[in-house]
Amino acid sequence: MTSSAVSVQDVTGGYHGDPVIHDVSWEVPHGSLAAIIGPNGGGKSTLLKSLVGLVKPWHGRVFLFGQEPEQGRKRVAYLPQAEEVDWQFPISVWDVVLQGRWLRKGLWGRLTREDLDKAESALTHFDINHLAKTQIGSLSGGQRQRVFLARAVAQEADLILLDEPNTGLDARAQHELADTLTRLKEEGRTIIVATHDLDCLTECFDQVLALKSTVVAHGSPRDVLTAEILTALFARHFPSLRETGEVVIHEP
Amino acid sequence: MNLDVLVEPFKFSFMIRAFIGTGLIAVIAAVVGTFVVLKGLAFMGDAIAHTAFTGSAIALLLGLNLYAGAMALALVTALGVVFLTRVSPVKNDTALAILFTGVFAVGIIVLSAMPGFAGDLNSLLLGSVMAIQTEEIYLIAAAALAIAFLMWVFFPRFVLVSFDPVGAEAAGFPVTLVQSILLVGVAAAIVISIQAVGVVLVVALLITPAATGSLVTRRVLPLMMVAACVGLFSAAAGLYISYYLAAPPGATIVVVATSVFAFTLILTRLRSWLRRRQGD
Repeated sequence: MTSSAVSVQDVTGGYHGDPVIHDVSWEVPHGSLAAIIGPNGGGKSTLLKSLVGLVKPWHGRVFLFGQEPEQGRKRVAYLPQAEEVDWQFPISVWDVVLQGRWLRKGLWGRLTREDLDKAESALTHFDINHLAKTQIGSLSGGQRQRVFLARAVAQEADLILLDEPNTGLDARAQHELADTLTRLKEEGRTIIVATHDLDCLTECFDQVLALKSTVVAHGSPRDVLTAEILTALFARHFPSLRETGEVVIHEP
Repeated sequence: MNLDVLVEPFKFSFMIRAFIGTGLIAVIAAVVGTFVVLKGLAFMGDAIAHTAFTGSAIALLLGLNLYAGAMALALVTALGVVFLTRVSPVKNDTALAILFTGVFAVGIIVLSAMPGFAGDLNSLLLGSVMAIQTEEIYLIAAAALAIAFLMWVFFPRFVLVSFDPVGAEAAGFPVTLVQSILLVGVAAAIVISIQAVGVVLVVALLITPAATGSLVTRRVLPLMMVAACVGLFSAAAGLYISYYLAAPPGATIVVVATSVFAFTLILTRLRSWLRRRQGD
């Protein structure tokens, strides 16, 4: 057991008998902003899902806030990949954010005035009050991310997991998202992002896990984002780290 | 319009029962069908209807209550779907198709083994709304109350697990349990609706009114209300047309619902086209 926000111990898992991640161990301290990077199919999403029991580890253990996932995940908000969400679903921004409160109510609980106030406050937190009545699918990619993060705040989640949040976002929206995640971290939340986008890792993230089925490296961005590790991770795409901290991936 | 045209069918008690029973059924089916449409589960609805047919056939063979037999197999299918979605190594719709066609085939064999089955088969396949008895009205009303209660208690939870089941499960929400409760409601609505339109057309009562609602609103609750109104209108108009033209009532109700959908689709397309032209 550990007091880390997330503790992964020798986890192996996959789908329908095919292993995707092998013997992964990783610790994420409270209040940190961490990234899981790696190639497509490298197990980023599988690891993220293993943290909250969406994929059951074949062996190894996961602890959330020092508890078994069944107890700890009540403090977790998971933002799935954009293509996993039905954006045509007839639901407004307000109703999505309010779901953060319903998530805490279980099977029988009812909403109170306090729940409505907290949902309202989450809208204000992300400056999206004016979008409250808008159907979720009418929003831009960046706005959709903010709505889901507002739901996480309404849920009072201490750990927020994001699976490929930059997919479909333009450069400006990506930077706004990075700023938002930094702000959430400063408020004491732990954030873990699975991403294949290496932009801004060095400036925003506290630590990085390089995953290619198994752990290639983990540590601070400066320690992990070396030419050697990135080449091992992305094979023939040969990423490189510029003096500015920008990671560049180019074909040979 | 001559008021007698509206009033005349109510001179017959079987027509009064048909209006009450079909009206309740249409509303139940539309309310539950809203979630079937939102989740894209039309095929599953069809599967439940077909396996309910086999349940009725087995009940007929054993001399049991038809509704009980239909409900038993409908529940097995509905909960089997939840199980399949979690463990099946083949695609869900493939596994479901194998399951329900196999079970449906058993139903046909069971019925064909019984002498004088043709009448029962007909009413199961095509409905027998004019033959609704008072006791069946009570049963339908009880089902309507049960589904109203389910919606009152669980509506926001049904929306939650329909919109983002993955995020909900990740946060420890009892997604499987809530989905199972919803599917039990769907199974009950289908079993009750078979009386009105039969196995073949029951999916239309579930899907078409809710699909019509989805054309005119982008919120779940208003969509459900529009669906209920469309279902009620289709049931009433279908029964009137059926009465005066001596057409099969179940099929006529479905044709009315389909026409309302087509009419609404044309209107909404026309409105979008006019708005685009005004914007140019």
